[in-house]
Amino acid sequence: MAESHDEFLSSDLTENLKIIDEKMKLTADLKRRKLMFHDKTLFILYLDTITDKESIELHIINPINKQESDSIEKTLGAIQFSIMTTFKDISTSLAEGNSILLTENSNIAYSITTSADENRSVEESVNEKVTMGAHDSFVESAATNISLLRKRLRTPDFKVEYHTYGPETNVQVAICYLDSKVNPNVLQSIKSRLDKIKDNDLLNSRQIQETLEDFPYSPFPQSLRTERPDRAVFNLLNGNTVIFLNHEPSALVTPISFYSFLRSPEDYNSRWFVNFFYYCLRLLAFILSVTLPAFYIAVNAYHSSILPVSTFYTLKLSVLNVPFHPFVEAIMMQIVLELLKEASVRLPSAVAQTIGTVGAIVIGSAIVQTNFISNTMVVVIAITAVSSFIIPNGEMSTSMRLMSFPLIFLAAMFGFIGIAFGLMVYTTHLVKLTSAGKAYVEAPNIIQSFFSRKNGKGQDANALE
Amino acid sequence: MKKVTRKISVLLVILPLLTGCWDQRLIVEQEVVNGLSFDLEDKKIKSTMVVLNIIPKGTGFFDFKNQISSATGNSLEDTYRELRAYYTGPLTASKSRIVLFGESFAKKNLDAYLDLFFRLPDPYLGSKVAIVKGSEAGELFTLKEIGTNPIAFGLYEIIEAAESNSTVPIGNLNILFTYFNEEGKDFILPVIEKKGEKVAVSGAGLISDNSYSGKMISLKSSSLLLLFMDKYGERVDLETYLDDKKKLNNQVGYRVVKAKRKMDLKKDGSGLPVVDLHLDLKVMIHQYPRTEKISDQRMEELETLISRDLTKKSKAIMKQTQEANCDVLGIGRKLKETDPEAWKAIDWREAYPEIKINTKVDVAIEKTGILQ
Repeated sequence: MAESHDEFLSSDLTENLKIIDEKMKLTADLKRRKLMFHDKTLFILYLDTITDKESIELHIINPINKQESDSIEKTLGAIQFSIMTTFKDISTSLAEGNSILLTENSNIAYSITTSADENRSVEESVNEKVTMGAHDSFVESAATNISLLRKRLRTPDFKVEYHTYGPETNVQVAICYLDSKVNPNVLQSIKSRLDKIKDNDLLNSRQIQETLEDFPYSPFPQSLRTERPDRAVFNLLNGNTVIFLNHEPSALVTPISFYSFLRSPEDYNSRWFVNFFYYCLRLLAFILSVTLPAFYIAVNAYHSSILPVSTFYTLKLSVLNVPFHPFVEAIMMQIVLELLKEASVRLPSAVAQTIGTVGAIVIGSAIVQTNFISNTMVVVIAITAVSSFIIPNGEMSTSMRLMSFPLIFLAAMFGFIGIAFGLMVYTTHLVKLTSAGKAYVEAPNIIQSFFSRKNGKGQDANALE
Repeated sequence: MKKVTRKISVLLVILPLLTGCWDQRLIVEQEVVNGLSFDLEDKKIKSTMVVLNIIPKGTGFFDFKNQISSATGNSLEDTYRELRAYYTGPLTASKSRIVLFGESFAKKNLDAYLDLFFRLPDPYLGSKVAIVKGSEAGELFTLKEIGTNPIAFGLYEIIEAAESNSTVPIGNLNILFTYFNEEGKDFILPVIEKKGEKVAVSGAGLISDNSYSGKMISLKSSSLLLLFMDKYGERVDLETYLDDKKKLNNQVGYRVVKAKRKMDLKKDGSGLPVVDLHLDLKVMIHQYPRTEKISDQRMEELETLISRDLTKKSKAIMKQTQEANCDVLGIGRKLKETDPEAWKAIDWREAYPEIKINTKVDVAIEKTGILQ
């Protein structure tokens, strides 16, 4: 067991350096500098690529060269450091961007924080734009993100917990919550779930999302991913937990209710009736984007009796020369739409505009003129797409659009009965769904307070959240 | 266990594929019946059907064509079978606008023949129903259009206009169904007539015991009848001669603003009911021979004049309904409700033409229009 014998530093400096070199696999960016301190030889080791050289110069080399004090501890007094005794700790510390100070005839090493903090500055959110309200958004550093939250929540109640996951990636995960508001059971379950990812290599927030989800196979996102501090703070105040993954510019909010996905951060900045209108509009959009194409197909193929006579003839006129079954039409149009959308997302913005034109003019009107797809079907799919796009959350928006496919199939097979059956399955699933142990869909507070007279008043403030 | 799950999931996929779509009726394939008419020809039913075909002519433009076919048979289904053979797709009556009866057909027992419409879920119960006078009902469909509307739509709208002008009460197949099953109440149907290349509503046909009596209330008097029925439409316009001379520009025209009807039943010595009908009208003068201020005294004179005139007219109308044996006011029903013993004692079909109906109209002029 020679290895375990070498775990601890010896007092032989050259031997120590050699073992550290081996531990770091002789990587090319591991630099060492030799210094003298009161006639003792010192070595500073650091990874050239992730350390802040200025900080090393200023806080380590300068004080040592000046030899202000007898002991190294006092010389380094101004900067944060820790003492290490094992090679394993030293190599991990190096990989994190710290500098290691080794001294002659000593079996301890100093690990000094010198990691370069190269961050994007706080900018306006790209994915969650608002016209009113704060314009800052999260960046790729958990510390900066937490500072953005702290700026808004100047209370000792706001608690942050750091955990490090992933043996290879060693990434920091910060769990933030308001101690007095959070449900301890929910918090406990979140923590125990996060512990499950210890064996995996954590890189994306999706991995955290996956472990936090009660139903990973559900089409609905069960934690809210947001780029906006104000939204995160709002959720914190509601007793939810915000989780940051270092190097990810978004916060995960959990537990979350379905209704939160229909909320835009702008809502909290507008008057109640404007707010209410947009909320209702989004609810309508949700219903439309899931059921509209299916409804159209069912009417077209089975239930044209329900149409008023003028609508019937308008419809008949538009589908008269189309050679396909409405089901095929709908699937074709949906696929064309997804193609266009995906193409414009992946392309640089200058080219994306061209895609928009091609989509609208070439495909949109030409496909109708060639009688491949009827006018009404284009309108129906366009309304479906636009409805799904007004959902403020991208994940939810895509889920909704994709959820219309099974309904389209059922409508083509069984008409309204199929839609009813499909919606029944969806509703059952939604009602059963939980997010971190809390119900995903409940009756909104406004309805709950209406039925329970006791706390009827004073509950309406965040009635719709 | 795994095998069972696999079998079930295969079944779940295959079953919808095998069973689905069986009742599919695509819009494209459907032939939409817009109008139906029934005549009597050599003691057989002759059904005529009009299907509207639209012909697209580029984006946003289209033309239409009426496809008319007739068939004769002993029952509606008998003719329907033959009619189906004329068309390219499955026929649907879900968008039918109008059902026409020839005069001779209407004199048959209507509810027995229309049973088909009420048993199937497909036919549109909002279709208007009318009797065609003077020509065969099917002949009306040969006109291509009324105004700019295709014939069936035009007929529908003509009848709808007659309803809002208080010529006939609001009626369609659905309302007809409730009348068919109602004892002690008859109904009226619009009578339309082909005049050259045009079609017009010429009055309200009195239906007695679910068949057409052959008598009709003319266009002029039907509004008053509707007031007595308490089923008037959006507008009721009436007019009265100022004196006995029926000369030019000698009428006062008035619009009913508010109407209140009262029906009282009493019994005479022989046990037959005596009906007192009282109609209270509030009217607005909208036409007067001279553009001048009508004095208060003149106003009172007008009120008594109009009241007397309407009372006289209403007596005549009630007489007509009695002659047709058409209890359109539902006096029988009222009797049944208020005095079931008396109702059981008499045969209403025989009693109705004999009973005494007293009418009285009271008119109050409320406004004289914008002119004071």
